[in-house]
Amino acid sequence: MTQEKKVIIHAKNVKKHFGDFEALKGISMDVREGEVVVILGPSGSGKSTFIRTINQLEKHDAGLIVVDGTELNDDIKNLETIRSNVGMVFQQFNLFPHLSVLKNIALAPQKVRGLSVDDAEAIARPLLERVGIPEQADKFPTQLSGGQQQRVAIARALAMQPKIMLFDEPTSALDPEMIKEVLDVMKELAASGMTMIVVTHEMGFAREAADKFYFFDEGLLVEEGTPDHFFTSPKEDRTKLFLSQIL
Amino acid sequence: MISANLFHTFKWIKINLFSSKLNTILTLISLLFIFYFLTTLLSFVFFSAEWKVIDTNLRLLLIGPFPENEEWRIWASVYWITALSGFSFAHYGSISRKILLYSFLSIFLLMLLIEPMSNVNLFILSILSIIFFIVGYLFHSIIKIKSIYKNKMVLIGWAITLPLVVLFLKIFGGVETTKWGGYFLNIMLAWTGIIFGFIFGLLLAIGRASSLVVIKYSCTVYIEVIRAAPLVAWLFFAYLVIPDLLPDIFANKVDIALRVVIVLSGFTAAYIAEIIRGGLQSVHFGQIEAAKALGMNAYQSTSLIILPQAIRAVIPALVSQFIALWKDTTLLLAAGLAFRELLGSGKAALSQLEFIGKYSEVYLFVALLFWIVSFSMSRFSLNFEKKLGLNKGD
Ligand SMILES: Nc1ncnc2c1ncn2[C@@H]1O[C@H](COP(=O)(O)OP(=O)(O)OP(=O)(O)O)[C@@H](O)[C@H]1O
Ligand SMILES: [Mg+2]
Repeated sequence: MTQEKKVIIHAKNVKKHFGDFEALKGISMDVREGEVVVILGPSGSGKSTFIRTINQLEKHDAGLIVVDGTELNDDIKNLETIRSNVGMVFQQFNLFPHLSVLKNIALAPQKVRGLSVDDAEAIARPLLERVGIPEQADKFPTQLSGGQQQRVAIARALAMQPKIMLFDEPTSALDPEMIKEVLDVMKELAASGMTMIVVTHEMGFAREAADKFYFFDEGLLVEEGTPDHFFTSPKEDRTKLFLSQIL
Repeated sequence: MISANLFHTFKWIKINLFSSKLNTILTLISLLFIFYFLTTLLSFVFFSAEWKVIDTNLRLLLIGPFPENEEWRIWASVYWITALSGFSFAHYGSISRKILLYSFLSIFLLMLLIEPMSNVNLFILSILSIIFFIVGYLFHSIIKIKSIYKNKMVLIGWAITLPLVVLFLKIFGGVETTKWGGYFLNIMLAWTGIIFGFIFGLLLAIGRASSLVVIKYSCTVYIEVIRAAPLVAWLFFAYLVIPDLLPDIFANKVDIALRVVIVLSGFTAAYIAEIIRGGLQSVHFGQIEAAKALGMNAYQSTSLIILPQAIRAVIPALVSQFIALWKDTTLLLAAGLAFRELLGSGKAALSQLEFIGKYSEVYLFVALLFWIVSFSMSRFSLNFEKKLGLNKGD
């Protein structure tokens, strides 16, 4: 099914240095429309760095990245437009503490997309409903629980009507009892056909929602395949070792 | 009901004032001091003080050498401001009526005290400002428009206030700034100094955080140089050195008051820039990333996300700086400038033969006038912080 869809993210031999340290040593990956991709790997393997190159929060040094038909390079003029089509959810939520929940969600549609206040809020309210907390609209982020904050963060990213959603360990800052509520929202999103790249160690979620796994280690893509492949017959020793540690 | 209230009061007193032996002793000593201080002050104010010095010199103290037949310019400004204050109070609603009532009462009492009806005109004109306040307040409830538009009216109203006041002072001939004086001059200088100092300071802080090396270092050098010398020195500089530096044709053209305002705001800006820089550093890096990830450009993320948070974090420090500037307006006297602001006017009053030695009366009055503005600023900032829902948990 997904094989017929077009490639929306094309990464080829992507490299990234921090000083002398090579965080990405040539990563290639194709993500098709509607695919849900989970990236696994030990700490420091470059997972965050890689997904951050996709919306250019990190600039890559070498290699090719094409997002929805636009190549990301230094001459790019409309970086903001590309970013607004790629939603991102952070480990630490990064909600705007000086704005109410509703304003957190409505701000970007209003200022970046140029919608009126009323139109922007008309987008924001149903999204709060979708993530299950319509009654929290007028509160401030610090008044919410971690799980609720992360759901607001997802709604905030969705408000820009992105084609792709990036998640960088969205549940690792959460107390265990709140992880499920966030994963449920992500599962619903995956089922709705959103293209997603998710860095996570939540294997239950990964197994259920993901179309494809990628395993990173030391800046290299070590192994890729379907969830089944990873759970039943991983090839590489490093993959086996890692999986044995987290499962 | 009353007995329950009384009970709570007693309980509060017991817990907070007499909880232990030490606490009791401290409470009693403090009470003794407060009692002594208050009785001395009140007996002075109501019995031994001779307020004639204030009464006679009230004009001098409030507006200095401002020409009498031009006073309407100041009254027009006062009325605009009181009406707008009334409108704003009605709009923000949070100000308790009690505080409002107390401030009116105390202004009224003050007027009675120092104005034993010897100047009926002034009395009526002052009462009129209270009426304008009420008019502004009522106007808010009479006009039936959306709250957002009223919001805009308040903001625009305050934004145009300074230009409007300057217009009142300058239109139809106008009054030269060398004739401005007294309390009025302190207010004008501090007000313009705060506004321009804040704007300039904000730009300096942003400049210092910039990645453009030339801008970054120019801002840093400016800040460090300004902070290296005291304000008095810079006032001397404005007064004595700048004319020598400028080409002859400009030398005496640049209004002295304008030069003073430039120095005050330029000086304050350096400090404000550093305060805001501290605020900028307190904004979490993830905030900028979140803004970028949503597609905001540098201008949007700075103005919508970073600055509001940075400034919120440093409101108390900013207000201290504003209050410092307010009191620094008296340094005009120290710098020997030809202006008679409030403190200078007080000195002038004391040099009158009739009133020699009336230090306590004059300085008490001067201090009170300074205190009113300082205290309002600090109250205003507290209210403002509450309004922003500043949350200690951040
Ligand atoms: N801004 C930076 N400056 C220097 N080194 C960095 C920077 N960002 C990341 N690195 C380094 O790059 C490597 C990869 O980091 P990255 O954050 O991508 O790892 P990760 O796989 O996401 O790990 P984790 O599971 O801990 O989040 C790490 O060794 C890290 O120390
Ligand atoms: Mg990471």
